[in-house]
Amino acid sequence: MESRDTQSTDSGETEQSLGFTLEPEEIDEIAEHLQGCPPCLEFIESLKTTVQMCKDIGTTERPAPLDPATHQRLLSAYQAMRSGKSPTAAKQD
Amino acid sequence: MLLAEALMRGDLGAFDEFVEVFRSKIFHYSLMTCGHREDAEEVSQDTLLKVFENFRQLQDPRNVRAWVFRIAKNACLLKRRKSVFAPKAELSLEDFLPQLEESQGTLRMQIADWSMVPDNQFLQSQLKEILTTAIRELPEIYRSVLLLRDVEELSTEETAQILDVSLDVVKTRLHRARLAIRQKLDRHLLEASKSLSR
Ligand SMILES: [Zn+2]
Repeated sequence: MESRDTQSTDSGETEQSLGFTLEPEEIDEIAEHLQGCPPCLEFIESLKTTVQMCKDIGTTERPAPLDPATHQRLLSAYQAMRSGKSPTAAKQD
Repeated sequence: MLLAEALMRGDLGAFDEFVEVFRSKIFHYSLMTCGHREDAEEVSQDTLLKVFENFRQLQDPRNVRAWVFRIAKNACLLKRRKSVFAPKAELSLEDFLPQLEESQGTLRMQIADWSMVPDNQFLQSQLKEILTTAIRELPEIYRSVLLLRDVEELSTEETAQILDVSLDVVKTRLHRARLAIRQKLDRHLLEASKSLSR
């Protein structure tokens, strides 16, 4: 039995996981093929999961808290830029 | 982008928000690129310093993400000597499509069972480690595209701008990079299910 209620045949998402743009006829053809092809559906599903996992790891590692000295250095550079001074004026070293 | 405009107007709240948001983004991108926390901390500081010093060079506030990441990418390149880089190589598509296996006289694709992945926390954390390693081991030209597009979720246009390549090149490399890491995860899942059924 094949499941037809899967969302994988959504062409926008399929295209996104492919990483390139398909012509409308190609999308129709692929969508039609996918309806009757569980292995291809599984493959696309696994590619979608992979992409989703990449998105999730984007927030896992965080930098150490910003130390006050660095914050001050950045703020000085920002204020110097705002006041129109030369960029090097903000550098201390 | 509103944040960049507020920053230009001298809004100190925007300054802190900008530092907060971009410092973690650049840190993560650099960590995945250089492989060392200290390098990544340095890259994120150096990048922000350059960003503030040169903020007036940003012509269009809507380009702020691409502009910042471009500076970060160059800062990462300077750390290159210290970093753990995978050999420069092209990835071939054929290497990453599922193997065909013969069963009952017909050829079928060999794919692991991914259905339990979304709901299994333990499996997810295992896969995340494998994923992180797989991304780091990608040849640089693929890794940079995958990091910017899928991990940092920048657009194809922004990624092309940052890396100085065409939209088509971004799309092709992204596709291959995704296939390559999908395969690493797939192999792990296949191994895991084999050891379970033993
Ligand atoms: Zn098929």
